[in-house]
Amino acid sequence: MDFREQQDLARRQTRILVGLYVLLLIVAAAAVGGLMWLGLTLGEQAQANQATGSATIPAEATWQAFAWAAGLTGGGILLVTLFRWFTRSDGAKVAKSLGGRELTGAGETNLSPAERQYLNVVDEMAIASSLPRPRVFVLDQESGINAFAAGTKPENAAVAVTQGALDHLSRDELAGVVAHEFGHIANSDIKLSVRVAAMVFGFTFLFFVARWWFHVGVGPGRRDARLRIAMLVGAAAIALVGLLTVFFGRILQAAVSRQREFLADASAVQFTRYPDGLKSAFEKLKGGASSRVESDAAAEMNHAFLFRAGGARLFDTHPPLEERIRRLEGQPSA
Amino acid sequence: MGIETWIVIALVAIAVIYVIYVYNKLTSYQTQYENGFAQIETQLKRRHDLIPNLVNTAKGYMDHEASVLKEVTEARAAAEKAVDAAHDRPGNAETMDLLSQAESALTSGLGRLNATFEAYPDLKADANMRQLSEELATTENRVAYARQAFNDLVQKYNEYRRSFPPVMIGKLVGHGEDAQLLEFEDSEAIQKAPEVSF
Repeated sequence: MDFREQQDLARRQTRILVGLYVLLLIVAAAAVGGLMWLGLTLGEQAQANQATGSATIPAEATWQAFAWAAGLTGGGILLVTLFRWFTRSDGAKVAKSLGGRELTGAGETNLSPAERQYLNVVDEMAIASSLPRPRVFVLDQESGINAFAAGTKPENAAVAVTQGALDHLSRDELAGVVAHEFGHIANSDIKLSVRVAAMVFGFTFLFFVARWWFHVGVGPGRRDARLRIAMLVGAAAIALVGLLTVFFGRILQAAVSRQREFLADASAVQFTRYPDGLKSAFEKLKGGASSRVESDAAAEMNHAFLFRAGGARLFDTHPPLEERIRRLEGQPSA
Repeated sequence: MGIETWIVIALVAIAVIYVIYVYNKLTSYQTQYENGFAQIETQLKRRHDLIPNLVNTAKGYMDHEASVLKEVTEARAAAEKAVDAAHDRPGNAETMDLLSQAESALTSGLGRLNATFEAYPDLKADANMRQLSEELATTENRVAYARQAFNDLVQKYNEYRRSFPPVMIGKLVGHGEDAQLLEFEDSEAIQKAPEVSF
Protein backbone atom coordinates (compact mmCIF):
# COMPACT_ATOMS: atom_id res chain seq x y z
CA MET A 1 0.00 0.00 0.00
CA ASP A 2 1.50 3.33 -0.92
CA PHE A 3 1.91 6.49 1.07
CA ARG A 4 -0.95 8.45 -0.51
CA GLU A 5 -3.36 5.57 0.01
CA GLN A 6 -2.38 5.38 3.67
CA GLN A 7 -3.15 9.04 4.15
CA ASP A 8 -6.53 8.64 2.51
CA LEU A 9 -7.22 5.72 4.80
CA ALA A 10 -6.19 7.78 7.82
CA ARG A 11 -8.55 10.55 6.80
CA ARG A 12 -11.39 8.07 6.31
CA GLN A 13 -10.75 6.58 9.72
CA THR A 14 -10.73 10.03 11.24
CA ARG A 15 -14.14 10.78 9.73
CA ILE A 16 -15.55 7.55 11.13
CA LEU A 17 -14.10 8.37 14.52
CA VAL A 18 -15.55 11.86 14.56
CA GLY A 19 -18.92 10.38 13.61
CA LEU A 20 -18.71 7.88 16.44
CA TYR A 21 -17.71 10.61 18.83
CA VAL A 22 -20.70 12.78 17.90
CA LEU A 23 -22.96 9.76 18.30
CA LEU A 24 -21.54 8.95 21.74
CA LEU A 25 -21.83 12.61 22.70
CA ILE A 26 -25.51 12.72 21.76
CA VAL A 27 -26.22 9.44 23.55
CA ALA A 28 -24.41 10.57 26.70
CA ALA A 29 -26.06 14.00 26.73
CA ALA A 30 -29.50 12.47 26.14
CA ALA A 31 -28.89 9.91 28.88
CA VAL A 32 -27.97 12.56 31.43
CA GLY A 33 -30.88 14.76 30.33
CA GLY A 34 -33.24 11.80 30.50
CA LEU A 35 -32.10 10.95 34.00
CA MET A 36 -32.65 14.55 35.07
CA TRP A 37 -36.15 14.49 33.60
CA LEU A 38 -36.93 11.17 35.23
CA GLY A 39 -35.67 12.38 38.61
CA LEU A 40 -37.75 15.55 38.50
CA THR A 41 -40.85 13.68 37.34
CA LEU A 42 -40.50 11.19 40.18
CA GLY A 43 -39.94 14.03 42.63
CA GLU A 44 -43.01 15.78 41.32
CA GLN A 45 -45.09 12.67 41.75
CA ALA A 46 -43.76 12.21 45.24
CA GLN A 47 -44.71 15.75 46.14
CA ALA A 48 -48.07 15.33 44.47
CA ASN A 49 -48.75 12.26 46.59
CA GLN A 50 -47.56 13.98 49.74
CA ALA A 51 -49.30 17.31 49.41
CA THR A 52 -52.85 18.23 48.53
CA GLY A 53 -52.46 17.22 44.93
CA SER A 54 -51.19 20.47 43.34
CA ALA A 55 -47.97 19.81 41.44
CA THR A 56 -45.24 22.32 42.38
CA ILE A 57 -43.16 21.67 39.34
CA PRO A 58 -44.87 22.49 36.07
CA ALA A 59 -44.54 19.91 33.31
CA GLU A 60 -42.61 22.17 30.92
CA ALA A 61 -40.01 22.80 33.62
CA THR A 62 -39.03 19.13 33.60
CA TRP A 63 -38.52 19.35 29.84
CA GLN A 64 -36.47 22.51 30.30
CA ALA A 65 -34.40 20.65 32.86
CA PHE A 66 -33.89 17.87 30.32
CA ALA A 67 -32.68 20.34 27.73
CA TRP A 68 -30.40 22.13 30.18
CA ALA A 69 -28.88 18.95 31.54
CA ALA A 70 -28.35 17.50 28.06
CA GLY A 71 -26.94 20.77 26.73
CA LEU A 72 -24.60 21.33 29.65
CA THR A 73 -23.37 17.75 29.54
CA GLY A 74 -22.77 17.79 25.79
CA GLY A 75 -21.13 21.20 25.97
CA GLY A 76 -18.99 20.15 28.91
CA ILE A 77 -17.73 17.04 27.13
CA LEU A 78 -16.97 19.09 24.05
CA LEU A 79 -15.06 21.72 26.04
CA VAL A 80 -12.98 19.15 27.90
CA THR A 81 -12.23 17.43 24.58
CA LEU A 82 -11.13 20.67 22.95
CA PHE A 83 -9.04 21.58 25.97
CA ARG A 84 -7.18 18.29 25.79
CA TRP A 85 -6.87 18.59 22.02
CA PHE A 86 -5.15 21.95 22.30
CA THR A 87 -2.86 21.06 25.18
CA ARG A 88 -1.72 17.96 23.30
CA SER A 89 -1.19 19.61 19.93
CA ASP A 90 2.26 21.01 20.58
CA GLY A 91 4.80 18.19 20.59
CA ALA A 92 7.44 20.02 22.61
CA LYS A 93 4.96 20.69 25.43
CA VAL A 94 4.01 17.03 25.60
CA ALA A 95 7.64 15.96 25.66
CA LYS A 96 8.37 18.43 28.46
CA SER A 97 5.36 17.24 30.47
CA LEU A 98 6.91 13.76 30.43
CA GLY A 99 10.18 15.09 31.78
CA GLY A 100 11.92 15.56 28.43
CA ARG A 101 15.10 17.60 28.07
CA GLU A 102 15.58 19.23 24.70
CA LEU A 103 18.66 18.72 22.57
CA THR A 104 19.13 21.42 19.98
CA GLY A 105 22.46 20.31 18.58
CA ALA A 106 23.45 23.85 17.69
CA GLY A 107 26.34 24.99 19.82
CA GLU A 108 25.90 22.24 22.40
CA THR A 109 29.38 21.00 23.09
CA ASN A 110 28.59 19.04 26.23
CA LEU A 111 26.61 16.31 24.48
CA SER A 112 27.51 12.73 25.24
CA PRO A 113 28.54 10.55 22.27
CA ALA A 114 25.17 8.77 22.49
CA GLU A 115 23.30 12.07 22.38
CA ARG A 116 25.37 13.29 19.44
CA GLN A 117 24.60 10.05 17.63
CA TYR A 118 20.89 10.38 18.41
CA LEU A 119 20.82 13.91 16.97
CA ASN A 120 22.61 12.67 13.87
CA VAL A 121 20.12 9.85 13.45
CA VAL A 122 17.22 12.32 13.69
CA ASP A 123 18.82 14.51 11.01
CA GLU A 124 19.29 11.50 8.76
CA MET A 125 15.67 10.49 9.11
CA ALA A 126 14.52 14.05 8.36
CA ILE A 127 16.40 13.79 5.06
CA ALA A 128 15.12 10.28 4.36
CA SER A 129 11.49 11.18 5.02
CA SER A 130 11.64 14.71 3.52
CA LEU A 131 10.10 16.10 6.70
CA PRO A 132 11.28 19.14 8.63
CA ARG A 133 13.49 18.20 11.55
CA PRO A 134 11.31 17.83 14.66
CA ARG A 135 12.38 19.08 18.08
CA VAL A 136 14.46 16.45 19.84
CA PHE A 137 14.13 15.33 23.45
CA VAL A 138 15.66 12.87 25.89
CA LEU A 139 13.74 11.49 28.88
CA ASP A 140 16.64 11.50 31.33
CA GLN A 141 14.79 9.87 34.17
CA GLU A 142 13.64 6.81 32.25
CA SER A 143 15.86 3.75 32.20
CA GLY A 144 13.46 1.57 30.17
CA ILE A 145 13.82 1.45 26.38
CA ASN A 146 11.12 3.54 24.77
CA ALA A 147 10.45 6.45 22.42
CA PHE A 148 7.56 8.55 21.23
CA ALA A 149 6.58 11.25 18.79
CA ALA A 150 4.21 14.08 19.69
CA GLY A 151 2.68 17.08 17.98
CA THR A 152 -0.15 17.13 15.49
CA LYS A 153 1.69 18.61 12.51
CA PRO A 154 5.18 18.09 11.12
CA GLU A 155 5.85 21.73 12.02
CA ASN A 156 5.20 21.28 15.74
CA ALA A 157 6.36 17.69 16.04
CA ALA A 158 8.76 16.43 18.68
CA VAL A 159 10.62 13.15 18.96
CA ALA A 160 11.78 11.80 22.30
CA VAL A 161 13.67 8.71 23.40
CA THR A 162 14.40 7.47 26.90
CA GLN A 163 17.86 7.48 28.40
CA GLY A 164 17.52 3.68 28.45
CA ALA A 165 17.17 3.64 24.67
CA LEU A 166 20.35 5.71 24.30
CA ASP A 167 22.19 3.40 26.71
CA HIS A 168 21.11 0.04 25.34
CA LEU A 169 20.39 0.39 21.62
CA SER A 170 22.98 0.18 18.85
CA ARG A 171 23.11 2.84 16.15
CA ASP A 172 21.07 0.75 13.70
CA GLU A 173 18.48 -0.08 16.35
CA LEU A 174 18.17 3.56 17.35
CA ALA A 175 17.81 4.53 13.69
CA GLY A 176 14.98 2.00 13.33
CA VAL A 177 13.25 3.36 16.41
CA VAL A 178 13.60 6.99 15.32
CA ALA A 179 12.41 6.06 11.81
CA HIS A 180 9.33 4.46 13.38
CA GLU A 181 8.55 7.74 15.13
CA PHE A 182 9.06 9.63 11.88
CA GLY A 183 6.56 7.19 10.39
CA HIS A 184 3.99 8.37 12.92
CA ILE A 185 4.68 11.99 11.98
CA ALA A 186 4.55 11.30 8.23
CA ASN A 187 1.29 9.34 8.45
CA SER A 188 -0.45 11.97 10.63
CA ASP A 189 -0.88 9.27 13.29
CA ILE A 190 -0.24 11.67 16.11
CA LYS A 191 -3.09 13.88 15.01
CA LEU A 192 -5.37 10.87 14.89
CA SER A 193 -4.31 9.49 18.24
CA VAL A 194 -4.41 12.86 19.97
CA ARG A 195 -7.89 13.32 18.59
CA VAL A 196 -9.02 9.94 19.87
CA ALA A 197 -7.37 10.47 23.24
CA ALA A 198 -9.02 13.88 23.57
CA MET A 199 -12.40 12.32 22.77
CA VAL A 200 -11.99 9.67 25.43
CA PHE A 201 -10.81 12.27 27.88
CA GLY A 202 -13.84 14.44 27.07
CA PHE A 203 -16.18 11.72 28.28
CA THR A 204 -14.55 11.68 31.69
CA PHE A 205 -16.54 14.90 32.14
CA LEU A 206 -19.52 12.62 32.87
CA PHE A 207 -17.82 11.57 36.10
CA PHE A 208 -17.80 15.19 37.24
CA VAL A 209 -21.50 15.43 36.48
CA ALA A 210 -22.14 12.18 38.39
CA ARG A 211 -20.15 13.39 41.36
CA TRP A 212 -21.99 16.70 41.42
CA TRP A 213 -25.36 14.90 41.38
CA PHE A 214 -24.20 12.62 44.14
CA HIS A 215 -23.20 15.57 46.32
CA VAL A 216 -26.48 17.33 45.64
CA GLY A 217 -28.30 14.08 46.41
CA VAL A 218 -26.71 13.48 49.81
CA GLY A 219 -26.27 17.18 50.60
CA PRO A 220 -28.35 19.24 53.01
CA GLY A 221 -31.74 20.67 52.06
CA ARG A 222 -35.34 19.71 52.66
CA ARG A 223 -36.03 17.01 50.17
CA ASP A 224 -38.23 14.05 49.91
CA ALA A 225 -36.38 10.81 50.69
CA ARG A 226 -37.49 9.28 47.41
CA LEU A 227 -36.13 12.28 45.51
CA ARG A 228 -32.82 11.80 47.28
CA ILE A 229 -32.77 8.16 46.30
CA ALA A 230 -33.73 9.06 42.75
CA MET A 231 -30.81 11.51 42.58
CA LEU A 232 -28.34 8.97 43.95
CA VAL A 233 -29.55 6.39 41.46
CA GLY A 234 -29.26 9.06 38.78
CA ALA A 235 -25.68 9.82 39.81
CA ALA A 236 -24.84 6.13 39.63
CA ALA A 237 -26.48 5.86 36.23
CA ILE A 238 -24.52 8.85 34.88
CA ALA A 239 -21.32 7.35 36.25
CA LEU A 240 -22.25 4.12 34.47
CA VAL A 241 -22.80 5.98 31.18
CA GLY A 242 -19.44 7.66 31.71
CA LEU A 243 -17.80 4.36 32.46
CA LEU A 244 -19.23 2.75 29.33
CA THR A 245 -18.28 5.58 27.00
CA VAL A 246 -14.76 5.77 28.39
CA PHE A 247 -14.52 1.96 28.27
CA PHE A 248 -15.57 1.72 24.63
CA GLY A 249 -13.56 4.80 23.82
CA ARG A 250 -10.42 3.19 25.21
CA ILE A 251 -10.97 -0.05 23.31
CA LEU A 252 -11.48 1.98 20.14
CA GLN A 253 -8.39 4.02 20.91
CA ALA A 254 -6.34 0.88 21.41
CA ALA A 255 -7.60 -0.71 18.20
CA VAL A 256 -6.77 2.36 16.13
CA SER A 257 -3.39 2.65 17.81
CA ARG A 258 -2.43 -0.96 17.05
CA GLN A 259 -3.10 -0.46 13.33
CA ARG A 260 -1.04 2.71 13.27
CA GLU A 261 1.88 0.90 14.91
CA PHE A 262 2.07 -1.57 12.03
CA LEU A 263 1.93 1.33 9.61
CA ALA A 264 4.73 3.18 11.39
CA ASP A 265 6.86 0.03 11.39
CA ALA A 266 6.34 -0.21 7.64
CA SER A 267 7.25 3.46 7.21
CA ALA A 268 10.41 2.91 9.23
CA VAL A 269 11.47 0.28 6.73
CA GLN A 270 10.63 2.64 3.88
CA PHE A 271 12.84 5.39 5.33
CA THR A 272 15.80 3.29 6.44
CA ARG A 273 15.53 0.58 3.75
CA TYR A 274 16.88 -1.60 6.50
CA PRO A 275 14.29 -3.54 8.53
CA ASP A 276 16.85 -5.29 10.73
CA GLY A 277 17.51 -2.26 12.94
CA LEU A 278 13.98 -1.99 14.26
CA LYS A 279 13.63 -5.76 14.33
CA SER A 280 16.71 -6.07 16.46
CA ALA A 281 15.35 -3.41 18.87
CA PHE A 282 12.14 -5.45 19.18
CA GLU A 283 14.13 -8.58 19.86
CA LYS A 284 16.02 -6.77 22.60
CA LEU A 285 12.67 -5.94 24.20
CA LYS A 286 11.47 -9.49 23.78
CA GLY A 287 14.68 -10.67 25.39
CA GLY A 288 13.57 -9.04 28.61
CA ALA A 289 14.61 -5.40 28.39
CA SER A 290 12.12 -3.07 30.05
CA SER A 291 10.04 -0.54 28.13
CA ARG A 292 8.55 0.86 31.31
CA VAL A 293 8.12 4.64 31.54
CA GLU A 294 7.82 5.87 35.11
CA SER A 295 6.48 9.37 34.51
CA ASP A 296 2.94 9.88 35.85
CA ALA A 297 1.90 11.48 32.60
CA ALA A 298 2.80 8.30 30.69
CA ALA A 299 -0.52 6.45 31.11
CA GLU A 300 -2.39 9.17 29.19
CA MET A 301 0.23 9.01 26.46
CA ASN A 302 0.56 5.24 26.28
CA HIS A 303 -0.66 5.08 22.69
CA ALA A 304 2.10 7.44 21.62
CA PHE A 305 4.99 5.32 22.75
CA LEU A 306 6.98 2.91 20.66
CA PHE A 307 6.33 0.09 23.08
CA ARG A 308 3.81 -0.48 25.82
CA ALA A 309 4.63 1.93 28.63
CA GLY A 310 2.58 -0.20 31.03
CA GLY A 311 -1.14 -0.75 31.56
CA ALA A 312 -3.76 -3.47 31.23
CA ARG A 313 -3.67 -5.97 28.34
CA LEU A 314 -7.29 -5.45 27.34
CA PHE A 315 -6.57 -1.87 26.42
CA ASP A 316 -3.30 -2.68 24.70
CA THR A 317 -2.32 0.14 22.40
CA HIS A 318 0.42 -1.94 20.79
CA PRO A 319 0.40 -5.17 18.83
CA PRO A 320 2.43 -8.04 20.30
CA LEU A 321 6.16 -7.86 19.58
CA GLU A 322 6.14 -11.29 17.92
CA GLU A 323 3.58 -10.04 15.40
CA ARG A 324 5.55 -6.87 14.71
CA ILE A 325 8.77 -8.82 14.21
CA ARG A 326 6.97 -11.26 11.93
CA ARG A 327 5.69 -8.44 9.74
CA LEU A 328 9.12 -6.79 9.60
CA GLU A 329 10.47 -10.09 8.35
CA GLY A 330 7.89 -9.88 5.59
CA GLN A 331 5.94 -12.92 6.69
CA PRO A 332 2.15 -12.88 6.50
CA SER A 333 0.41 -12.38 9.80
CA ALA A 334 -0.68 -15.52 11.58
CA MET B 1 -13.40 38.12 -40.32
CA GLY B 2 -15.06 34.82 -40.94
CA ILE B 3 -15.81 32.20 -38.38
CA GLU B 4 -12.98 30.04 -39.71
CA THR B 5 -10.44 32.67 -38.80
CA TRP B 6 -11.77 32.81 -35.26
CA ILE B 7 -11.58 29.04 -34.95
CA VAL B 8 -7.96 29.09 -36.12
CA ILE B 9 -7.11 31.88 -33.66
CA ALA B 10 -8.78 29.95 -30.83
CA LEU B 11 -6.90 26.75 -31.68
CA VAL B 12 -3.58 28.57 -31.83
CA ALA B 13 -4.30 30.24 -28.49
CA ILE B 14 -5.13 26.88 -26.90
CA ALA B 15 -1.96 25.35 -28.31
CA VAL B 16 0.17 28.21 -27.00
CA ILE B 17 -1.42 28.00 -23.56
CA TYR B 18 -0.83 24.26 -23.47
CA VAL B 19 2.84 24.66 -24.44
CA ILE B 20 3.26 27.22 -21.65
CA TYR B 21 1.60 24.84 -19.21
CA VAL B 22 3.92 21.95 -20.13
CA TYR B 23 6.95 24.21 -20.05
CA ASN B 24 6.07 25.47 -16.58
CA LYS B 25 5.52 21.98 -15.27
CA LEU B 26 8.80 20.72 -16.70
CA THR B 27 10.63 23.67 -15.23
CA SER B 28 9.00 23.14 -11.86
CA TYR B 29 10.09 19.48 -11.80
CA GLN B 30 13.55 20.51 -12.91
CA THR B 31 13.80 23.02 -10.08
CA GLN B 32 12.71 20.33 -7.65
CA TYR B 33 15.44 17.90 -8.63
CA GLU B 34 17.97 20.70 -8.68
CA ASN B 35 17.01 21.47 -5.11
CA GLY B 36 17.33 17.77 -4.38
CA PHE B 37 20.84 17.92 -5.70
CA ALA B 38 21.64 20.87 -3.47
CA GLN B 39 20.91 18.61 -0.50
CA ILE B 40 23.29 15.92 -1.80
CA GLU B 41 25.89 18.57 -2.42
CA THR B 42 25.62 19.76 1.18
CA GLN B 43 26.11 16.22 2.44
CA LEU B 44 28.97 15.44 0.08
CA LYS B 45 30.75 18.65 1.16
CA ARG B 46 30.23 17.58 4.75
CA ARG B 47 31.83 14.28 3.86
CA HIS B 48 34.77 15.96 2.18
CA ASP B 49 35.29 18.31 5.12
CA LEU B 50 35.57 15.37 7.48
CA ILE B 51 38.34 13.66 5.60
CA PRO B 52 41.26 16.00 6.48
CA ASN B 53 40.39 15.59 10.18
CA LEU B 54 40.15 11.85 9.76
CA VAL B 55 43.47 11.69 7.95
CA ASN B 56 45.22 13.97 10.44
CA THR B 57 43.98 12.01 13.42
CA ALA B 58 45.00 8.77 11.79
CA LYS B 59 48.44 10.13 10.83
CA GLY B 60 49.47 10.43 14.44
CA TYR B 61 48.97 6.71 14.93
CA MET B 62 49.71 5.15 11.58
CA ASP B 63 53.35 4.99 10.60
CA HIS B 64 53.45 2.68 7.64
CA GLU B 65 50.20 3.35 5.89
CA ALA B 66 51.03 6.58 4.11
CA SER B 67 49.80 5.20 0.79
CA VAL B 68 46.24 4.63 2.04
CA LEU B 69 46.12 8.11 3.52
CA LYS B 70 47.44 9.61 0.31
CA GLU B 71 44.90 7.68 -1.75
CA VAL B 72 42.02 8.99 0.35
CA THR B 73 43.34 12.55 0.20
CA GLU B 74 43.60 12.38 -3.57
CA ALA B 75 40.18 10.80 -3.94
CA ARG B 76 38.78 13.62 -1.85
CA ALA B 77 40.33 16.28 -4.07
CA ALA B 78 38.91 14.62 -7.19
CA ALA B 79 35.50 14.27 -5.59
CA GLU B 80 35.48 17.91 -4.60
CA LYS B 81 36.20 18.94 -8.16
CA ALA B 82 33.42 16.66 -9.41
CA VAL B 83 30.93 18.22 -7.00
CA ASP B 84 31.81 21.69 -8.25
CA ALA B 85 31.32 20.59 -11.86
CA ALA B 86 27.98 18.93 -11.02
CA HIS B 87 26.86 21.97 -9.06
CA ASP B 88 26.51 23.97 -12.25
CA ARG B 89 24.77 21.24 -14.23
CA PRO B 90 22.86 18.85 -11.94
CA GLY B 91 21.10 16.12 -13.86
CA ASN B 92 23.56 16.37 -16.76
CA ALA B 93 24.69 12.90 -17.82
CA GLU B 94 28.38 13.74 -18.08
CA THR B 95 28.84 15.56 -14.76
CA MET B 96 26.68 13.04 -12.91
CA ASP B 97 28.81 10.18 -14.22
CA LEU B 98 31.97 11.98 -13.23
CA LEU B 99 30.58 12.64 -9.76
CA SER B 100 29.44 9.07 -9.23
CA GLN B 101 32.87 7.78 -10.25
CA ALA B 102 34.71 10.22 -7.98
CA GLU B 103 32.50 9.50 -5.00
CA SER B 104 32.71 5.77 -5.56
CA ALA B 105 36.50 6.02 -5.54
CA LEU B 106 36.33 7.98 -2.31
CA THR B 107 33.99 5.43 -0.76
CA SER B 108 36.28 2.55 -1.56
CA GLY B 109 39.28 4.53 -0.30
CA LEU B 110 37.50 5.18 2.98
CA GLY B 111 36.62 1.51 3.17
CA ARG B 112 40.28 0.55 2.87
CA LEU B 113 41.21 3.20 5.43
CA ASN B 114 38.70 1.79 7.88
CA ALA B 115 40.07 -1.69 7.32
CA THR B 116 43.54 -0.37 8.10
CA PHE B 117 42.33 1.19 11.36
CA GLU B 118 41.66 -2.32 12.61
CA ALA B 119 45.39 -2.78 13.07
CA TYR B 120 45.66 0.19 15.44
CA PRO B 121 43.88 -0.38 18.75
CA ASP B 122 45.17 2.92 20.18
CA LEU B 123 43.62 4.80 17.30
CA LYS B 124 40.31 3.04 17.78
CA ALA B 125 40.28 4.04 21.43
CA ASP B 126 41.01 7.70 20.64
CA ALA B 127 38.05 9.88 21.70
CA ASN B 128 38.56 12.20 18.74
CA MET B 129 38.53 9.21 16.43
CA ARG B 130 35.34 7.86 17.92
CA GLN B 131 33.60 11.13 17.26
CA LEU B 132 34.96 11.28 13.73
CA SER B 133 33.73 7.81 13.00
CA GLU B 134 30.24 8.73 14.21
CA GLU B 135 30.33 11.83 12.00
CA LEU B 136 31.46 9.71 9.10
CA ALA B 137 28.69 7.18 9.69
CA THR B 138 25.98 9.84 9.80
CA THR B 139 27.39 11.58 6.74
CA GLU B 140 27.37 8.37 4.73
CA ASN B 141 23.75 7.83 5.71
CA ARG B 142 22.81 11.38 4.83
CA VAL B 143 24.42 11.08 1.43
CA ALA B 144 22.48 7.88 0.82
CA TYR B 145 19.14 9.34 1.91
CA ALA B 146 19.65 12.60 0.02
CA ARG B 147 20.52 10.59 -3.07
CA GLN B 148 17.35 8.55 -2.75
CA ALA B 149 15.31 11.74 -2.59
CA PHE B 150 17.17 13.24 -5.57
CA ASN B 151 16.66 10.11 -7.66
CA ASP B 152 12.95 10.11 -6.87
CA LEU B 153 12.67 13.69 -8.12
CA VAL B 154 14.72 12.99 -11.23
CA GLN B 155 12.49 10.02 -11.96
CA LYS B 156 9.39 12.20 -11.64
CA TYR B 157 10.86 14.73 -14.10
CA ASN B 158 11.88 12.06 -16.58
CA GLU B 159 8.54 10.30 -16.42
CA TYR B 160 6.64 13.49 -17.14
CA ARG B 161 9.04 14.56 -19.86
CA ARG B 162 8.65 11.23 -21.65
CA SER B 163 4.86 11.09 -21.37
CA PHE B 164 2.95 11.73 -24.58
CA PRO B 165 2.24 15.35 -25.31
CA PRO B 166 5.17 16.70 -23.27
CA VAL B 167 7.64 14.50 -25.14
CA MET B 168 6.82 16.44 -28.32
CA ILE B 169 6.91 19.84 -26.68
CA GLY B 170 9.92 19.25 -24.44
CA LYS B 171 12.46 19.43 -27.26
CA LEU B 172 11.11 22.79 -28.42
CA VAL B 173 11.38 24.46 -25.02
CA GLY B 174 14.75 23.23 -23.82
CA HIS B 175 13.68 20.07 -22.00
CA GLY B 176 14.89 17.61 -24.59
CA GLU B 177 16.98 15.33 -22.41
CA ASP B 178 16.45 13.04 -19.47
CA ALA B 179 18.03 14.10 -16.22
CA GLN B 180 20.64 11.65 -15.02
CA LEU B 181 20.12 9.61 -11.86
CA LEU B 182 22.99 9.66 -9.43
CA GLU B 183 24.01 6.02 -8.96
CA PHE B 184 27.20 5.25 -7.15
CA GLU B 185 28.97 2.18 -8.47
CA ASP B 186 28.89 0.44 -5.13
CA SER B 187 25.29 1.42 -4.54
CA GLU B 188 24.83 -1.40 -2.07
CA ALA B 189 27.78 -0.43 0.04
CA ILE B 190 26.73 3.17 0.46
CA GLN B 191 23.23 2.23 1.53
CA LYS B 192 24.76 1.13 4.76
CA ALA B 193 27.25 3.14 6.74
CA PRO B 194 30.74 1.66 6.52
CA GLU B 195 31.34 -0.84 9.26
CA VAL B 196 33.27 1.09 11.88
CA SER B 197 33.34 -1.36 14.72
CA PHE B 198 34.43 0.47 17.82
